[in-house]
Amino acid sequence: MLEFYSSSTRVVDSKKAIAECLENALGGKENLDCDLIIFYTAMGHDFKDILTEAHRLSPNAQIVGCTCAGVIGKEGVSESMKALAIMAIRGENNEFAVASKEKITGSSSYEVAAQLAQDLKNKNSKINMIHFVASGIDIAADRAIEGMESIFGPDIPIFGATSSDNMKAISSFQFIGDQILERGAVAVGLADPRLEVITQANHGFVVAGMPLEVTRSESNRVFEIDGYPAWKRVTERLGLPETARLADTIPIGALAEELPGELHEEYGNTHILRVIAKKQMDGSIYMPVDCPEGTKLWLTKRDEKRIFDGLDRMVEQIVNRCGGRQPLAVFHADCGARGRLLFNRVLKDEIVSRMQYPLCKDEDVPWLGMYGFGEFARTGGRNRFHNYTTALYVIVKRNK
Amino acid sequence: MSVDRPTYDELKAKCEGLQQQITRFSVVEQDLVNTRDSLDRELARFKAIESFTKRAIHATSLREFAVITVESVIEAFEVECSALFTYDKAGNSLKVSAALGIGEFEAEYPLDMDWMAARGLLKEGACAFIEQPYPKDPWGSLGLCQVIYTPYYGNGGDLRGFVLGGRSARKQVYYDEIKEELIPSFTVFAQQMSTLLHKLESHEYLERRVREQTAELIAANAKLTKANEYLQREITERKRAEEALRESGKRLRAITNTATDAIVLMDNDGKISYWNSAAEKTFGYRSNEVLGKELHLFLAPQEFYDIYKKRFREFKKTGEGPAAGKTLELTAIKKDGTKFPIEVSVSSMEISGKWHAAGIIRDITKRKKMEEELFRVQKLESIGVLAGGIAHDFNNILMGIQGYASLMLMGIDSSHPHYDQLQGIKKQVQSGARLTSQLLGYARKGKYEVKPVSLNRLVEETSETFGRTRKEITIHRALHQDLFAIEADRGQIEQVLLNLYVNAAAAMPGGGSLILKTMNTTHEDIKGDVYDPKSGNCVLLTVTDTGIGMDKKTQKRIFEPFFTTKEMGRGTGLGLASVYGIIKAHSGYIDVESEKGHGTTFSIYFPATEKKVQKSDETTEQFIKETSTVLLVDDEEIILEVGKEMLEAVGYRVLTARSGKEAVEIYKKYSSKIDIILLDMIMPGMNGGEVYDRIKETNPDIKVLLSSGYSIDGQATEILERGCNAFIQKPFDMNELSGKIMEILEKK
Repeated sequence: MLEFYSSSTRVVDSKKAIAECLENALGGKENLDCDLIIFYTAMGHDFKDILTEAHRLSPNAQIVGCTCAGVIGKEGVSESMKALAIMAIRGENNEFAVASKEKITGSSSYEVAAQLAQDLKNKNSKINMIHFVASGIDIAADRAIEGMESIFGPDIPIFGATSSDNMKAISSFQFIGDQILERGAVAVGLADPRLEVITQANHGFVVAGMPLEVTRSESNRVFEIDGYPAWKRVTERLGLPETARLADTIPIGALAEELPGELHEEYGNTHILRVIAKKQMDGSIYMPVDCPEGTKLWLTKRDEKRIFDGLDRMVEQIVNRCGGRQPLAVFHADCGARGRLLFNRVLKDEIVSRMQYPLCKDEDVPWLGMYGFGEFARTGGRNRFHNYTTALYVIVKRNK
Repeated sequence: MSVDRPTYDELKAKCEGLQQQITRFSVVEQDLVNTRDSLDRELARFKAIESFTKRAIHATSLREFAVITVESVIEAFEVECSALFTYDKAGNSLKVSAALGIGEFEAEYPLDMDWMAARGLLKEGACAFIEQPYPKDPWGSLGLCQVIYTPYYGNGGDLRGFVLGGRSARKQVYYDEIKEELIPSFTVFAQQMSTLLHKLESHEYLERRVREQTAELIAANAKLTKANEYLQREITERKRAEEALRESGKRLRAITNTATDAIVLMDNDGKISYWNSAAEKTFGYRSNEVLGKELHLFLAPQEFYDIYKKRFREFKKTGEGPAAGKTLELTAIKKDGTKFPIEVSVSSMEISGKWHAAGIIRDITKRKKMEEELFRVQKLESIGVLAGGIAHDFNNILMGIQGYASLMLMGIDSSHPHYDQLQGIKKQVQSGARLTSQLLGYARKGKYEVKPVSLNRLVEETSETFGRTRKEITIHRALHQDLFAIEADRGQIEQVLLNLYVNAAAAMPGGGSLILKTMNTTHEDIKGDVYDPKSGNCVLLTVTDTGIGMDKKTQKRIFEPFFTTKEMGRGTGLGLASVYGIIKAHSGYIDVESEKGHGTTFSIYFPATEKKVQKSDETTEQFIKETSTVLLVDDEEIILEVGKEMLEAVGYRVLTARSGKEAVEIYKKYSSKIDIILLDMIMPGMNGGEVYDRIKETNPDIKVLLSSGYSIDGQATEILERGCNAFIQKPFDMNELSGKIMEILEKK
């Protein structure tokens, strides 16, 4: 059975940082070898140094990872520019597979994701869950989900995040082996039939005001809202000048789509949020999912009470779904907007502890989390892409 | 009361107004969040500075301190990279002590001090600056788009270097701009760093001093340890040497005390300082009688005293002398006055820093006697070899004469005018044969037919015969009843006995007693240093006369051939010589004791045998004509000729061969016809022994009579032991030859 080990660090020297993570995760310098390393790194690290040193220390391990705006480990949160966190995995070769693809964009998301999934399947047909990280800049995440489901079917859990930079929304990077991809997608398929993953996401935002309507779009690129250039209309509604940066909009308010009524109870909200992934010089914006003309987008406002309540509710639901099973590992994706843009250090630490304590109690459960652009989690029995959420992916032994 | 319901537009306008208020509130809220975040970051920076202090204070080297500093700059100020520069006053340049996040950097960066001073960059006191690097900035070549830096100073206000944080052009889009709000905390950091650095430098200085002094102490300690070890080794070595010396002393005392040679030490004055047990035995003086006294007074005979003393002085002076480093034979004197030969070897040595002479002295009295005896024996041996050769050739000659005389006598009777002359020739030949027999006996080449015999019987027979001819001599026999048998040639032992009787009679011209005794004894009773008898039982025969006796000089020579005390023409000088040779050939031993006027006793020892004595064979006196075929083999033409005629005269058919090789060939050709081979033992080329072996291979039952005028000791016996039937001594007459051949053939 797959075994998981995790660690995170704020050490600024990239080689020292990965070495410290491996040593802390695997319990000493004597045996740093493992079979798979998944790492999340902030933008300040020297990526090449991390990969080289990881290969040197764990020569038999396959290595995958991506950039993010900060990391969350069992040691806590770090949004430092030199934050690093890893999940080291030991197991048989037939218990996992990794694959990657370059150049995933809004228009190619389905095809690229489908090819990626096919590669995974070719390597291991018994994959029963997929950890997926992909460029979060202009990806059409819902199309990417559809692409992967076209190979593995809709029942395969897809969990992970879109990678990010430090909320500058300029670019993000993905890693596999010794390759550094800029707009790529990386997937890890786990094929241990004794394991399953429980996923859930929650945001805690509240709808305010009347909806906006997409009046001109192509796939996930929106040119006009309410008949106006999209960026102009959004900043106007947010009370920001048109010259505002994308990052300036994120803490003020988020766009949202209404969920089908039957999902409100499970999701704990009537709407699912959509963050603007990128703005173009022509005033158009990239949404993380397809936005056909006529799509209604609501402005939502953060509500601290609802955020904390929603988090508690989600964790309680997961604990219930675990049914007493001890989590073997937890993957975690949080929206970058819920980091320093939204909460100070004290609140973030409280948020993390309100997740980790109920789930892990006093056990040393491996935990690998990041602040990214968006989160993949299942809602209503379907794989979905979320924004502004905290999404948890809890790996437990499958019930007999 | 009626209430006006707002219209949709009114509600929409209100909603939008509220929305705008919410937005404004949101902006305000975000400002608050941003302010909170700024405060968070500032707090984080100070926490990071505190963390830096905690880490840096434990730095054990300037290098480690520099690394901690640059890591802490990046962590605290969220900058991409950092470097710590050290100012090199002599070179007016900066050197990188540590850097992180900066790709490549130079070994040193020149400083334009005037330019920097003009810009106020070198003001004393911590002050941070933020700027885009100018080309004249030392870090202008590092590829940074923005830096924050501050100089740091030593305790004396001297510029020590710069600490710098920066962001590169490469990653500037991801890194926040370095803002002036960082200056206060960066300044605090630099001050903290400077203070810690001073402490570390002081600490490092102290540590270095401690290290140096510790190293000195360690080195001194190492020297002491080494010296101590050396002393320990020295002590151990000395103890070991003392122990070895004691052991050596013990061994030396043991050796010197058990040595059979006298060991004597003399001091500078020639006085005795050591005297071992053997010296006591050799000279008869106890050590307390001689220690401290001059050696020569005790040991040198009076006539040699001056010479010995002179030689000692020379040896002391030069280390040279006839006995220095080699052996010298001298004459010494015992306590009882007896003079005796010694062998001396002298060497000098230092004992406790004083000169000593060590003398090893061996009493060689016994050895001298042995040497004399050995010399005598060797002389007898060499004469014996010569005598043996003469006897061999002489026998061959006699064989021819005797053969022809016998042949001629066969054809005539006593009335023939030449009969008496021929008989005379035959007698002379027999007389000559006896002489050669004596010679062969002496030469120990005549031990022909060895059989177990009774010495008592031989003594009785010979003494009775002898007694009948010498009535003036009374013979006394004291023969042991159960005397061991001996293995001997009967004829030769008879010759020994008769020679001894004749010798005794010669010593008693007016008559006297001849006392013959036999007894059983062992080898241990045999006396004489030159003999090494085989251990076991022996038979002792003593022949004592009451004659005139001999002096010592005569006793020494009596066994020499041709030595005689008889008047010219009365003795051959071979009698006792042949006795000696025959006894030796029988592995026996003869000794003589005599005193002038008191008679002589010969003691003869023979090794005893457990074999039974055989009865003597009777021989026929008449010729028996035979018709068998004899192969006669001899390299001497005359022997072949006369032998052939003799054999044919008694009726044998004869084939002859002149060599061993020819004999083998003839036998192969006529083997079915040849009944017996008369084979000469000594021949050139293939000798008798080889011929016998070759023919034996063809016919294992072949009859062979071996003949020789000369028998190499043991060779005839060996051939007989291999199966050869009998041996006949040249010269032989018709009767002897016929008898031997008939004896062999009859055993068919």
